[in-house]
Amino acid sequence: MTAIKRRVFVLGGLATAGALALPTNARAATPYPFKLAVASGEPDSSSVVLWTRLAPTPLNADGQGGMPNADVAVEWQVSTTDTFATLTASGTVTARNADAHSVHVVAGGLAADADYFYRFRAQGHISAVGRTRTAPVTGTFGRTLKMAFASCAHYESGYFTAYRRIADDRPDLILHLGDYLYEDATTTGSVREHVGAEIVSLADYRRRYAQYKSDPDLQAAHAVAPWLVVPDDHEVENNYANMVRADSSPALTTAQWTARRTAAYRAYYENMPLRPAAAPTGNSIPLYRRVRWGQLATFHMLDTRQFRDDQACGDGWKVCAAADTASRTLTGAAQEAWLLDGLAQHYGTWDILGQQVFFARQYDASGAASMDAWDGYRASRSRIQQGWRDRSVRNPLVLTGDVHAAWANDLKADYANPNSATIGTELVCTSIASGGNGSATTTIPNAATNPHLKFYSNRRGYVLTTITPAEVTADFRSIPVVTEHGAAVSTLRSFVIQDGVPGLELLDGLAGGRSAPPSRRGRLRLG
Amino acid sequence: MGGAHHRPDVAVSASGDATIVWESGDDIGLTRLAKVSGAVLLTPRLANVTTAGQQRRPAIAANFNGDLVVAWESSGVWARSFTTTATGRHAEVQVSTTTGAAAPTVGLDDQAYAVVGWTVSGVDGWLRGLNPDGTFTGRLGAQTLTNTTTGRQDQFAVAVSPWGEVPVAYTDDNDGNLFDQILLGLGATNSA
Repeated sequence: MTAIKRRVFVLGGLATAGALALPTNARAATPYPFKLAVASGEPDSSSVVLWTRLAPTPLNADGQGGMPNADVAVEWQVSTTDTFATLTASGTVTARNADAHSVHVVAGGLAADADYFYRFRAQGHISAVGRTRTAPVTGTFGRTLKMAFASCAHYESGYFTAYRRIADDRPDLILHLGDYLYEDATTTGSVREHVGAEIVSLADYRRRYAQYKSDPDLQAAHAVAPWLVVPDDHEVENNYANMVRADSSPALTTAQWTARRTAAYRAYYENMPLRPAAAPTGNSIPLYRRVRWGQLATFHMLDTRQFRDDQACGDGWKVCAAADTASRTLTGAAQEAWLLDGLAQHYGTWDILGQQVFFARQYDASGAASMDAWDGYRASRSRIQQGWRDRSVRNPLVLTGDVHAAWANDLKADYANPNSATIGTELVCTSIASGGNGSATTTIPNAATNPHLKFYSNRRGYVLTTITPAEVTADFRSIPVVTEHGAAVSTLRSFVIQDGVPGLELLDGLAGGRSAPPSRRGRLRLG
Repeated sequence: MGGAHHRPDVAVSASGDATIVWESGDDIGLTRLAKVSGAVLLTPRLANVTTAGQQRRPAIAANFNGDLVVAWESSGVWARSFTTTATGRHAEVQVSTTTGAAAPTVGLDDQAYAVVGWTVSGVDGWLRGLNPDGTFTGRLGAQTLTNTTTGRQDQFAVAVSPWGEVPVAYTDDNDGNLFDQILLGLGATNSA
C-alpha cells in the first residue's frame, strides 16, 4: 500500500460564514499534466512508438497547454501486464517546450506479435495506461489481425461515440485515414463547439489538437491499440492541393499560407504517434510509408494531399475532360514509383493501401464526378491499377475515408465495362462524427452508372476488419446517433474478400447476419 | 420492487441520462431514467449480488462514458462496478478493512477506476481505490486521508476527476470543541 504523503495534501478550511479561509499549510500541487492521455503507433516486430503530450490546461490560447516554458523529464514504462509488476522496457525522455511538450518514444527490444501495456510519469503524476502490440516478424503470419479503420471526426457535429465503440471492439490495430480534426471556427449552436476562430497559427493548431484530444472517447480509442495515421485535407485546410488553396478564406499571403501549412504539419507530427522519421523538414512532412505486418499484410500508407496537382475544372462535381490528362497525378511521381515498387515486392498476402479519397470510379448520370477524388486524377488511378496488375499483386485492398458515408466497391479493369475483370477491392469507412446523424438510407447513389459500387450507408461508424491468410472480413459498424452521447453500435453489413479472389462477397445477406452461426451464414458473390 | 424505498443517490454521464440507486427494502435498487422524458431506460434491478443481511446507504458515480460504480454499507463498505448498461463487472467486494466502516461515497475516472470513501465509527475518514474488475492492485491503498486523525473527522466525501485526481472533503472537530469545520483535501491521485 502506498500512503499519501501529507505534504501533497492541500487543505482549505471553509469558514462558518461560507467564505474560503486561506489554508495556512497549503502548497500548490503540480497540476495533472496528462489530460491529453496517451497513444501508441507504428508498430514493427520489435518496437512501437509511445506518445503523450503534457498539458494541464489544454485549451490555453498559446497552444502550450499551461506548461511552464521549460523542458520536462518524462519517464515511460512498458510491461506485459497493466499493473506493471515487471517492466519490459523503460526510460526517460525530454518533453521539450519547443515541441509543446509532446514526446515520441520508440520503445524497442520488444517481442514480435506480442501485447504490451505502457504508461508515463512526470511531475509526480502518472498517466492513464495504454495497450499496444507489435507486428509479427517477416515470414510469419502471426495471430489473426483485428484492424479497425476510421476517418472524419468533426467535433462540432457530434460526440465521438464511434471511437468509443472501436475501443469496445478491442482491435489490434487502428488506421486513421484523415480529417482527425477540422480547422473551422466555432459555430454557435453546434452539438459541441470548437474553441476559437479558424486555425491558422501553430498555437491555433496545437490548441485545436488539445481540444480534440481532451475527448474521452478518442482517448479510449488511442489507449486500446496502436494507430497508423495519415492526414487528409482538414488537418491543414479544406480541399487544399499541394501548395494551392481551395479558397481565400481567411485571406493569406503566399508566405502566410506556406507558414500555415508548415505549422499544420508540425502540429500534426507533435500530436500523432508517428516515428521520428516522419518529423517535418522544411515546409513538408514525410508521411507516405510502408508498415509490414509479417507475411500477413503490408500497409502502404499514402499521402494524397501534399504532392497532388490542383483539382481539375475548378474542383467540385464536374464533367471534366481535363481530369483525363495523362500527366495529372494525385500522389506525385516519386510516391507513385515508391508505391509500385513496394507492391512488386509481394511482402505479404494482403497489400493494403491506407489512403484518403474515393478510389473507384463514381460518375453520376451526367458523367460528372468528384474532382477532389481519384476521379479527378484518372490517369493516376489507371497507372496504379495497371501497375499492380503488371506486378501480379495478389490481393490489393484499398481503404478510404473522406466521404462521410460507408461504401464497399469492386475495382474494375475497365470501369466502362461491367463485365471487365474485378482487379481489387475498396472499403470506405464512414465518418466518426462529420455530417451529424446522417440517415438510415442504404440506397447506393449513382448505382445505375456504377454497377461496381456494392454497398452504401449514410450512418456514422467505422469498419472492423478481421484479417487472416485466407480472407479479410469487413464488418460495417454503424452508429444511429452522434448528436447525443452513448449510442450502441451494430453491424449493418459484412463482406468477405477471399485470398486470390479480388472483389466482395456479401457475408450476411438473408442468412441472419454475423450473429447467425457460421453454418447458417450465407456467402453471396456479387456479380 | 417491494419494500420501503429510501436514500437515493444519482449520477449522470455525457448522455445526460440519470442512473439512480436507493435502499429498496434490505437491498440496493438501480435504474436509469431518460434525461428528457424520465422514461425508464433500465428496468429496476438490484445492484447487490448478495442479498443476505441488510444493504444500506448506497452511493453511485458515473464517468463520461457511463461506466458506473456503486458502494453501500453491509457490515462494512462494499462496492461493485458496472458497464454502461449496468451489467456488473464483478460481484461486490468489501472495500473497508476495519470494523465500523459506514457512509460510503464514491467517484469514478474516465478509465473506470473507482475510489470509495467511508467514515469509520464517526471519527475517521478513509478511502481506497479499485480497478474495474474489483481488484485493488495499482490503486490507492486503504488509508485515512485526513489532515489529522486526532479527535473526530466524519461525513467524509470523495470525488474523482476524469484523470483520477481525488479531492476529499469532510467535517473536522479534532479539538473536540464542537465547532465543526469543513476541510478540503487536494493532491491525491488514484495510483499506488
